[in-house]
Amino acid sequence: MNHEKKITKAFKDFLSDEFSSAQVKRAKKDLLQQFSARPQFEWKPVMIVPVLSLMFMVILIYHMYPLVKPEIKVPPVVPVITEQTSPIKVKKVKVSSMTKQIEKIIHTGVPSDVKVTRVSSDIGPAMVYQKNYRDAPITIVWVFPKEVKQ
Amino acid sequence: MKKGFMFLCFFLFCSNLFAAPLATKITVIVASNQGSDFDLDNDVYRDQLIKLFSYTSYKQTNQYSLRLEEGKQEILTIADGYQLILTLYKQGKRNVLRALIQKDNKQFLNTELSLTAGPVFLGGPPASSGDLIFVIEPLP
Repeated sequence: MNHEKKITKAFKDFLSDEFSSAQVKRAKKDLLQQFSARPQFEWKPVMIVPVLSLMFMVILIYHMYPLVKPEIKVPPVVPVITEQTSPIKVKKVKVSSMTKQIEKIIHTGVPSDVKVTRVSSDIGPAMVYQKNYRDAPITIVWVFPKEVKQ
Repeated sequence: MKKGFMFLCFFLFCSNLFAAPLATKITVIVASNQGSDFDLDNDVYRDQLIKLFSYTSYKQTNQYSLRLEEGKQEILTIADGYQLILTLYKQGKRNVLRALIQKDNKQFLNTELSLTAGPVFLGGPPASSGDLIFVIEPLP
């Protein structure tokens, strides 16, 4: 019985040595490659069509995405007083009857496509007014010079 | 052939991503209460000016068609020594226009606005014959 086990073990060792040899491994790899190798990529002019289509789609999506994407619009803060003056002080600036007209516009501030991010002036308070006029957004940035008019 | 085509595709794709110049029309108007003239080349602004301001006279002094390029300064010299300096730059996907009205090294109006549609009226600086109004309008 013991003798039989020894023979079986020797046979298994012999087989494993045979199959794990580098030569057999290489032969197995070659055989597998021969029957399962993928065809090599070859560029053909007809492939322009799908490539261009894909590019067109990417470009289209790139440009259309901002239009489709819901945008949260924050109503502009009007008026923007850049100097340390209150809106009441602005009323004191003598800019003829135009001032009254503009004050009306201040209070009709509506969301606009034009966003004013900065306003400043060296000569007086500056203000921003936004108004939808016939469904078209209009933005006015106005400065009230403190100095005497020319 | 293959490399050339890929380069062409890449170039087309990249050229689409970068901003094209922004065509913009600038109209300079002097508004005053002297007389009642409407001297504008383009009557499109007439209704808006009447609605928005209480001046009685509007005279167009200059009109410019510009192609604003990102980072490039456009300097317009206006009457009475005023300069309108426009600079376009990108903030995300938005075109932001920096507009500066200056005279004698004084900043009369310095503003930044993201310009997508609609006219923008910049005004207030006093000129010899009235108040200056700059109408900035992006062209389609």
